[in-house]
Amino acid sequence: MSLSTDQDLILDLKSVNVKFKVEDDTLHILRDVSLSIPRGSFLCVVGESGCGKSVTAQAIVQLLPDNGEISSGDIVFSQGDKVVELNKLEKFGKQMRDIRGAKIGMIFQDTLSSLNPAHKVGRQVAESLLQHLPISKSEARARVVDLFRKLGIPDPERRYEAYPHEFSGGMRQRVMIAIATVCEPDLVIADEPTTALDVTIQAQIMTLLKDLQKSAGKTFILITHNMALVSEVADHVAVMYLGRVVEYGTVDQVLRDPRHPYTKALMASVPNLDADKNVELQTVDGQTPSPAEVTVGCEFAGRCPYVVAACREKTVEMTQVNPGHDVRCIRLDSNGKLPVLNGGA
Amino acid sequence: MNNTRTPLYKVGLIKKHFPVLGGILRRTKGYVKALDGVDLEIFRGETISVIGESGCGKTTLGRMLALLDKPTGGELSFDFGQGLQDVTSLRGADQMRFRKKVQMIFQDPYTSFNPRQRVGAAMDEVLRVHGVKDEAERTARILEACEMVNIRPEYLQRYPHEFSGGQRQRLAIARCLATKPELIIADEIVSALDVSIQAQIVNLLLKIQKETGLSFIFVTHDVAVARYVGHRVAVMYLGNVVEILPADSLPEAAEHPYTIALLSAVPSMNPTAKDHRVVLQGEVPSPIDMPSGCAFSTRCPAVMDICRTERPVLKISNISKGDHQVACHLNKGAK
Repeated sequence: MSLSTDQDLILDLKSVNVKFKVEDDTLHILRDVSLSIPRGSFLCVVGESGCGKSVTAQAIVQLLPDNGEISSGDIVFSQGDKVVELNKLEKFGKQMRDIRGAKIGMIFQDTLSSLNPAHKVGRQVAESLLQHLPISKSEARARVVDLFRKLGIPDPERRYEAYPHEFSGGMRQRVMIAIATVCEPDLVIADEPTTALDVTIQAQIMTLLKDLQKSAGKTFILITHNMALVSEVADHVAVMYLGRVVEYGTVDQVLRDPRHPYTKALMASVPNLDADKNVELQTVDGQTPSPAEVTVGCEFAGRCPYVVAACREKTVEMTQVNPGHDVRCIRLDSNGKLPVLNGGA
Repeated sequence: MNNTRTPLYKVGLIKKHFPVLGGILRRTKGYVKALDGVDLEIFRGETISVIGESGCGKTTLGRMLALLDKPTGGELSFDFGQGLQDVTSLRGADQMRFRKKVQMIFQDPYTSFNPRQRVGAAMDEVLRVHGVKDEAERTARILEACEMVNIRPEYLQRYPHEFSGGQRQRLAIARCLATKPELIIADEIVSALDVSIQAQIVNLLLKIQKETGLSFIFVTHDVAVARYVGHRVAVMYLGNVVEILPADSLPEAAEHPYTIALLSAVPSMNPTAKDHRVVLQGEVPSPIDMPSGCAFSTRCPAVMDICRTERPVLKISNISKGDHQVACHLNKGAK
């Protein structure tokens, strides 16, 4: 899929930088993050802890913690004919509040702390409807019960009256999906929605999300660290490392033909059920540097087996290796291939 | 494993029922059956991976084997060198002798070290407790263990917060190794780590296993890691071991309907894996009111009448035989 400008983009991040003030320090958490998300697509943002994938989600909906701010860049959200720059809106102003929840839905990882333990779950879902749409309480209730049924929550009328602690983890995540989708947003951002769940429940939830994308034409941004999960649901993948997108492309391009050394290493370090047991897992030496360490050049240079002096000289730009497949690495040759390492890699 | 060999550790139908108290008088209303008759044999030099979903009792099993909890029924016998011996009744010095042989590593490396104690001192303490009186020997053992896990000796003077999660998990492993145990029980030790760090620890465990010939019980929820680390994999569901099979034979040889469903729910890089997926409906029943008969009968796609009334026991598989055991009425047992 090409990234031509005439494509119908629902969300366009242009060189977004996010900085956090921590004590006397300023941490540069997102570095020139650019992502173009076509309407109706399923984008996965992957990376390890601290790579900025959750901050990207928070920046889009303007829910960064108080010490964080978007220092530069644009976040353009288009709803048909109306185009807004989200980063220009007042954080808790009326316009942003109208978009957040109604036009952009959000699902978070920890369901127990995202739901209010003192309110009935049905009411918490209906609250979003009443906030954004001019409908009566009984209409809202009917719509929520209907949605619960669609999402596979058994006995929805009775469950409407239940409290969060009466639900299991998987059922609570369904309630979260209900909250995120009840206003029929065009875009849903899911931040590690299944990380705390068992694999059999994860399979149920992911099937549900994928159905929503296919049947209702919704756009999804899924933030996860699970490469195998990405391979199953995503259309496009963005791999992040230390605040930067280092590789972007379709699932087939990024997962079946990874070009960036970090993506390669990440893929090789995941044990797979069908893989040969006698092949040693590849590891990445060292650990992710802290964003407080000021680095010049490629962020991955310190752990990269392909590193040369030029990598540390200046910021590495994204280069296209194939239409729609971008990689941030200067070690790629004109065919977009990494050099062969001595001793084999 | 060869059946004529005697196991290092034999677990005979152990049960752990936690009482559920209720009412003003705090009377026992029922029991949570965390473990409901688990049978397992651990041989020398073998790694058994225990997998299952949350609440299946895999952690309880690990704690039970380390004698951190007392079983409410069944037998645990360990071979100290003179044949199998019951360990549930061990007290005092005898129990310490057992604890030295069987060590445990926990999931969270942040809480398994005292933040105010240098890591070297923490390791030294364990050895002193286990009666290594000679200081030079203690130091030698600690250095040897650190070398095995690739931790530089000068790091021993540091405090736990100065290490990353992966390094701390290495230190926890080194602390275990220093006592020269025969069995290490590792409970979800890579779950909290990023994948690239997880791979380092997994490779390290495999290396230690090869070099020292220790036995491991590797408790995890990650099926792919379990297969990679273990010689055999034990699958648990609701307090029961439903299948034990050689890790190499996964995923093809799985026979129990639960194992098949669990494996197919694991996301895969293989694009064709989605085509034959079994999506389990519903959720794990509460361990308080367990279904009569087979624990999996409420969700099993292949359920029969007998499953709801009679509990299947682990039998040698009639398809792949040998080391493969299945607790399912579909399996008639090998002849």
